[in-house]
Amino acid sequence: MMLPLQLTERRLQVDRAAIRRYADLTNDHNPIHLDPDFAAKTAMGGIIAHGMLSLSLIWQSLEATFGRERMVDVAVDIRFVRPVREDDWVVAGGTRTDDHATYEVWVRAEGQGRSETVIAGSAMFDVGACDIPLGLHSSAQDWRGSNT
Amino acid sequence: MMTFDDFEPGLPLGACSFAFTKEALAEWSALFPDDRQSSPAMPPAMIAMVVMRAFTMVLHDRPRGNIHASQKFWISRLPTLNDRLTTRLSCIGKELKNGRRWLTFGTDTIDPAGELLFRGQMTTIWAT
Repeated sequence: MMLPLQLTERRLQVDRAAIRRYADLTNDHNPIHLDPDFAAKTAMGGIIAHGMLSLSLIWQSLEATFGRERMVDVAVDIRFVRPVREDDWVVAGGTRTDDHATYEVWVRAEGQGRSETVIAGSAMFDVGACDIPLGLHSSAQDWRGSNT
Repeated sequence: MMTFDDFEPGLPLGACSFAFTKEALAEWSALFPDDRQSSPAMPPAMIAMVVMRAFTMVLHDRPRGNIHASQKFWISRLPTLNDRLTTRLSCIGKELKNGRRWLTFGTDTIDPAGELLFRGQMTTIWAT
């Protein structure tokens, strides 16, 4: 069966309440996510959202496209390219690649006069655990990441 | 505090349990209402929460300013309601590169029978 070319997009506004709720869910209360005064003095210059919060939208995009029952033997491999700012809207989606079992996936942040990719990577079906190699796979170029 | 020098690749760091209950799903759904549905399977987006929670609880004494650079996940099967999950955290990579302290952590989340449900790989730049 031919897989759809585009994933169904999912979006969320990452406001302070959403960040606080995700911090409580994950027990990640890093002040870069929660304390405006602390965050303002860091290199980020203000509050940023948890990277995993935005990554959630990629899973929701996959689920919206294929259904929860298809979320078996599926892998996601992403880089946090840019931070997400408080009150940004994040939008996740993806496009099928030529090998028909892989999607290029992304999350974009929109708001405050910008629209830019904050997460980039791929989603693959029918890969098997052995296809997730152990060890470093990321380069240090062109990203600022997401604080943990 | 856990500093870069404290980590050794291959070193198990600890484990954390999580019960996937109706209450846990309700808390999650307060943030993501679309995930509130009749399926007994866990919403796939919740696996990141389970892994992050294990990471923060096992490595509770970590420095401020760590950066989450990249993440991999593989789902074998989604947990179902009332499953009790255990996530094991290990250091699987360590590299000093261009003055940055790269650490990679592996996570395996299993059910009470020991079946692997999902696997993660988190790459970070450690602050100190």
